[in-house]
This record gives sequence, C-alpha cells and structure tokens, in this order.
Amino acid sequence: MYSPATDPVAALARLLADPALRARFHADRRATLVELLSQPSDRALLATLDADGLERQAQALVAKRRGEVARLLPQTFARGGGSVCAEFEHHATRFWPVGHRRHLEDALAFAGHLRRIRHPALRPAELNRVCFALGRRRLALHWLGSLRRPREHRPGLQLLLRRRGDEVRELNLLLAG
Amino acid sequence: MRRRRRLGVGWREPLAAWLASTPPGVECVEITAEHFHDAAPARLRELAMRFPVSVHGLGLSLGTPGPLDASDLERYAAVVEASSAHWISEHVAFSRAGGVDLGHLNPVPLTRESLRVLGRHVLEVQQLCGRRLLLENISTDLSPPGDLDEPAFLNTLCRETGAGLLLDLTNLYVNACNHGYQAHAWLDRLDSSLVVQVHVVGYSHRDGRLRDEHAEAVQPELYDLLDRVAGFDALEAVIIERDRDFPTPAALQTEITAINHVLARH
Repeated sequence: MYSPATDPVAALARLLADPALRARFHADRRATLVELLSQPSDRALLATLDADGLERQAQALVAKRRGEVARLLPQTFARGGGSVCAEFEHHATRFWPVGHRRHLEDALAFAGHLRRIRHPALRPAELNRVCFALGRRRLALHWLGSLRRPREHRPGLQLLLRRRGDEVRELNLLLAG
Repeated sequence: MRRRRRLGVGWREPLAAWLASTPPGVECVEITAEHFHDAAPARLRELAMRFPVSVHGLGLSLGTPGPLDASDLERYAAVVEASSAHWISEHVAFSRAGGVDLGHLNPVPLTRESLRVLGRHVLEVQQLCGRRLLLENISTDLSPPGDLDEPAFLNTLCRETGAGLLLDLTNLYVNACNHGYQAHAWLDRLDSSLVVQVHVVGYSHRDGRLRDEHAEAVQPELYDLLDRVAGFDALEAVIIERDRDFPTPAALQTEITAINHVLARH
C-alpha cells in the first residue's frame, strides 16, 4: 500500500521507478490508481496509459543508467558481462541516485554492492577512481594486487590526481616482473 | 528579414581540442549546464570568448509540480551568467517527482494543468536569467496521456510565456516512427515562428525501435526535415548534438558542410 501521490506526474514517476508497482498496475489499474491518486480526474488520466510504452520507458531509464555506470566501470562490466548487468538491474530497483553527479553516485553505489556480494568482476581500481572523483582530495595512492594494462596484469600502485577544473588523472605504476 | 543562422556543435570533452582549432563552419557551441556546475567561471568565460554559447539544461525538471529546486536553478543561472549565454534552453519534461529522481527525461501529461505548471516554471527561469527560454521536445517510449496533441501543447506553452522552441528533429523523427505518425504532419501543426534553434544528430536502431542515442551521423530523412525547418524565419541556430562514438574531424567537417549547404538554400 502506497501513500497517495499528490498529482499524476508524481504517480507516473513512481510507476516508472518501481517494477513491483508497475506489475500491480498492469494487473489491476483501477485498484492501483485508487491507492496512488486521490482525485478521480487524475486517476482517469493515468487509466489510459499505454502499458507497453510504460514498461519500455521504465526499462529505457534503467538502460540509460546502466550505460552511464558502465562508462565509469568499463572493465567491471566487460569482465562481468551478463552477470554484472543482471546485478545492475537488481541494484537499479533499490537505489535511485540524485543530483548532478548522479552517475558517479550510481557507479559508487553499484560498485559497493558488487564488493558486498564479492562479485569477481569488480575492478578495485575503478571503484577507487569513482570514490576519488566524488571526493575533494587532490591526490590518492592505492596499492592494488592486480593492475591492468594491455596484455598484462601485475601488482602495482594506482596514483590518482585531481587537476584544474576537477579533471581526474590516473597513473599506474606496475611492479617490475 | 530573416535572421542569421549559425551552425554549432555540442561541446564535449573529446571534441575540445578540435573546437579549440576553430574549425570552419562552426559558429557556436552548446554546453550542458550540469556538466559545468562544478567548473570555474573562468573556464566558461574562456569558452565564451571563442564562441557564442547556448546553455542547455537537463535537470531543472520544468514539468514537476511544485517549486523548482532552488540550488539547481541557482547553478543553472550561474552557468548562464558566466558563459554570457546567447541562448538558454531546457526540456518539456520531468525527471523527478513523487520522491524519486529518475535521472532522465520523461513526458508530462499533455493537459492544461501541465501547461500551468510548465508556464510558471518557464517564467521563473526567464526572469532569473534575463533571457528567453527555448523549450525542447523529448523522445519518449511512453505516449503521454492528455487531451492536447504535442504541437498544440508546445504552441500554447510558448505563446503564454514568450518562450521559444528548440526543435529536436531527431526526437521528432524517432517518436513519429515509434508511435506511428508522420513527422511532417506534426510540423504542419507547429507554429514555425516559435522555432529558434534546432537539434539534429543521427538516430540509432535498438531492439526494433529507433533511439535518440546521439551516436550516429545524420541520415537522409533528417536532412529532409532540416531542409523544411531551414525555411523557418525565426531560426537562429542548428546544433549537431553528438555525445559518443565521435567521428573523425574530417567526417564531422563533412557533416558541418552538408548542413551549412542546407541552410544556405533558404
């Protein structure tokens, strides 16, 4: 049971954000709209929503989020493939980032989720980079058991620098083999 | 007398070096306001010295009932001020409501109530920024509910507020194909005197539908639409809105030349 939304836009936002609510809406529009909206005219407006369109729009929102987070965690997504994508779908139902740095916040939250479940695809270097980008430090140094360069993985140091205009630069110093 | 038209591109980090070389045919740039919220004002002033700047917002959520987010509005206005923006724009859409921030643009119901909400917000932004706000049509998988059609909605919103239109041709074409109507018929119902800017970029294909992913070269169908709107008297700028999979500078230059040829025909 949901507390009523104040208006159709608020109700639409909730439908787009919540797959369980959408499922209930598709199963019984009238009952779900009675829960969501107090004004009969508002209920009548959303009663005509195209079900397929609603589902596609909701999925597109998650896909856009996933695309932005994958750009921030490229090696994690590349290594994890469908498994990481499935975890993102699960993450996306429980967490909606806010603010103009939302993609970084989303990437941080998702990487944190992967770390909690000890997903093998998570690249710690990428998590470090996202944390650093969200912070204010000018310099960070991390020892990593495996840093990646083309054709090799070796232990090494990850150096993160914040330059002019908030640009983050990374330098990896691999241990000599 | 027809206004001078400028062709511009969206300013993106991968294009920065190329734009710094002042490529021929590029006469303005569009920046995304949110990308510069944390930037030093000097950076914006530097950009404004090279090009007329159009400031394009993503996050004001003009379609959300209730007050605009004060800090978002303040940051938007600060970017407008620092860049001495020639144009400012946002979307006919909402991105947050009901306690959730969806992070991307969604359609508002096409109703008188939405006109009232958007109208109040448009007037507020125009008053704060001291400029006419241009409003962009979005692409959407969800046909918005309501008793108005989109062109009538946009016409009324602009006439009631003094706003102008940023007509996104790619969004129009994508919506027309996905929802089964004719883009040219949609344009027939739009008040052409309201169109001040145009966005154009190639559409993508995904899962059997068209997508506005800002990742492709402009296709012939979009040049066809562009040729029509190039005849609109109030048009001041056409912006190529490429966000990813950037082509080579030579390929970008070819596209710029082609679009300038279309504009020169009118």
